[in-house]
Amino acid sequence: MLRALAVGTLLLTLALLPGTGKATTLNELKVGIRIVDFMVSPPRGPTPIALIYDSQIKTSVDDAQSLLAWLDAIPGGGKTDLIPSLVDIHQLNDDTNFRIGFIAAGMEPHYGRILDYARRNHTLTISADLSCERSGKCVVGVTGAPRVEVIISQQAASACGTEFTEAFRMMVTEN
Amino acid sequence: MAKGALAQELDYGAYERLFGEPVTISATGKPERLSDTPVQMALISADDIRRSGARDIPTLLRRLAGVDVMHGSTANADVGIGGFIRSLASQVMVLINGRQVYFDAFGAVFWSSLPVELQEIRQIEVIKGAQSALYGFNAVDGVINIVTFDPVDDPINVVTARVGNQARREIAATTTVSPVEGAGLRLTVGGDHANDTGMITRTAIDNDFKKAANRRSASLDAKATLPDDSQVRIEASHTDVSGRTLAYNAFFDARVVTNSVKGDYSADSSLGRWNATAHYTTIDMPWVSSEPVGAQHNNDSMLVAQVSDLFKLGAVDSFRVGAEYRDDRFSSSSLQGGTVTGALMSSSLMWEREWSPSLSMVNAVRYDHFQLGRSGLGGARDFYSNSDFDRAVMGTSVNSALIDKLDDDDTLRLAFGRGLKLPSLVNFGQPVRYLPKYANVFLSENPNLLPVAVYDGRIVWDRRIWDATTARMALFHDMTMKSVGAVSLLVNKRPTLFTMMTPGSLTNGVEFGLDHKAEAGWSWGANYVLDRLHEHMDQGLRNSLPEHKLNLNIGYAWGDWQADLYGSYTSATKGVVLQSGTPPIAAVGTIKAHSQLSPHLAWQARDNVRLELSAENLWPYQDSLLQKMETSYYLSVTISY
Repeated sequence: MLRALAVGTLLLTLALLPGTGKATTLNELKVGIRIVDFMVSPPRGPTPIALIYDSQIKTSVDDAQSLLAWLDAIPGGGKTDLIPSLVDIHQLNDDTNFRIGFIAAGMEPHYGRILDYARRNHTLTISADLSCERSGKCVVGVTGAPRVEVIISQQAASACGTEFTEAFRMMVTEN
Repeated sequence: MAKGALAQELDYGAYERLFGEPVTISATGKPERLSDTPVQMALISADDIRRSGARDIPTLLRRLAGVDVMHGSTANADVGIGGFIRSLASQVMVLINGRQVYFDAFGAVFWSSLPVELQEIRQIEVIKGAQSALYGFNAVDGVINIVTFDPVDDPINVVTARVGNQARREIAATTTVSPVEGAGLRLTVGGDHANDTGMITRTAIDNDFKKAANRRSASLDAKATLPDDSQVRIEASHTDVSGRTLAYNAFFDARVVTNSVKGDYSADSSLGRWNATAHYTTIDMPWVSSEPVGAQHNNDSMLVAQVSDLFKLGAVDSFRVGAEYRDDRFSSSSLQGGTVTGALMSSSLMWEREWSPSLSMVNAVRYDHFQLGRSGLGGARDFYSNSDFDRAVMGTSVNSALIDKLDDDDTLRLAFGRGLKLPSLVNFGQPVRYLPKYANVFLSENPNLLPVAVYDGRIVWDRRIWDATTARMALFHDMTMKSVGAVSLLVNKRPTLFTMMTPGSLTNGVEFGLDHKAEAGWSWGANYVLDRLHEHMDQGLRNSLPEHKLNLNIGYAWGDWQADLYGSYTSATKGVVLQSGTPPIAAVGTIKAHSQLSPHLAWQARDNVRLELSAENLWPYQDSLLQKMETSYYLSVTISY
């Protein structure tokens, strides 16, 4: 009985931590990278995009590798030619300036560090874990199902110096 | 004056790819996803058009719930929304990329003269209900916005040729070039011919009106993104259309030539997204010959300038402020060199608030000031002087709507609108003299006409049943306070028809729809509308609206093949026809209930070659009192390159 209660409590705790370890879907990645086109003064031409992950968390590593494979496979289509790079959070420093960062699953403990980096480097940070955006640590949160949602943290966007076109702002949720 | 165009510079393709659904700017003047629009909107996509087998836009529209189409000939049609439909008396605002193609002077849309080919259309947006607060006078029953592909982001290169019975031969070619990155130019030319068919002859003289349908069109659409990310778009078009039609209950042969040019500039700034648009359109009718009136030469020009700013304050409030100036000039041989003018100035405000992620509200208000005028000699038998035309008409329109996303599958919309319908310049200022066989009677102009208020309320419930399957139920109530009509009076012991304000009408209705779309396998849909029109003064027509309208479609796609079948049923109604005599007789007759069946088979023979075999009206039917729609068959070949 106690064991069942403990397992149930653990499952409930995990359920109440949205996004923990939840793998990014292909649709969420596509939505995320298409957002780049709606920035004010978006980067043009070949632009590095950091796939930020934690090398010590398996779900994060797996998710980042999926993201890399998808980005290599899907056609560009957008106005920006994104060049993906895997970036381990433990090696994330200002030596390399990424204007776009897509955050892999399982990165919740590092959201504060990612925000600090984004603030210094004016990086558009995108996550499929909405808790990152809700906590004001990521600029954009995306969902792919049951319908596409794009949610912008005005606080994070302002801190990172990221602006979006007026038409785009009117079609997404801001908080 | 009717007016229109909202800022249209929206990258439809990029947003559609992002959100996985069509986007629109027509509903509120701000860009939004189709599922987020607070108004009752239906959308015909490019894919829908491709699978329709249709040759023209009215045929596509007729398959939507609550859209009525009445043919004046095989090539000419009038389109109504919400029950009211009269020949050349539109209450629906029609736009192409935001440029109004509703002609204020005539109060009509000349559908066969629209400078657009089906192959260059991205989507057709149909909004039901009064929308004057966004589109100004005359958008009282609804708005139809035809959006073409973007010459930069959606390059299309395609040629379509079509042959069929009734000597039908059509060709349309579209090519897009991109001289430099960020700039594009699309050029389209088209030509159609078909014999005139289906006239139900009532008198021997009717046989004089059988001009075959001919159409020539050319259009250009160029767009460039400037280094500061602002956008410039230039559109120009020319159409030359001739043929026979039915209008004002009488036969007409006419040639209509239109020319237009439009310039548009959009830019983001710290104060929001600015848009400035100007367009100039001319319409020339070198000959308009009708049985009761004889031959006339009419022409009209419209100059429109608009500016708007779209901005968001905070996280939940969006605004659009706009101003518009319009100058319209109509002249006719019946005015003996005179010109009737209308100068309009307006300002508008739209406010949308997102109360929560599931609940949002939009309110819009618009004020129009219209200055009427006339110069020249006026009509041969004139009751008014030019100074009588020196008067202004003002009016305020409002729209309010609420959208509540009840859950992931259900959406409820509540909408209210107060629209204004302004009499046309022809109503205001064109006297008409009927021929002796029609008693030599005069139809007098009337500069003292007033704008008509139309109140519209509707409740719309959308439900997603399964993936790709949606259901809709809507209730609507529409109240038109007055109409422009004609009243017979004795003037100096002589009968004279006066254009006057006459009592209005009421329409109540309910609409049901089901729709399932799939690229492969089965697609199907059904919609039914019950609407009842009560005209307070119906001139014997007895509320001439079909009460029951049912549309059905089923299709199957497999491999390189697609087969679709479209059917419809329309209940009986009445029509009127003007017959010669002293006085002329407005004869009322019954139009029988009818069914239509239109099959379509398509084969993608090669990656870039598509063959289609289509038929329309497998059972010929009587569309109006004097027009029968015959069966037509045609073969289409589309080559992309």
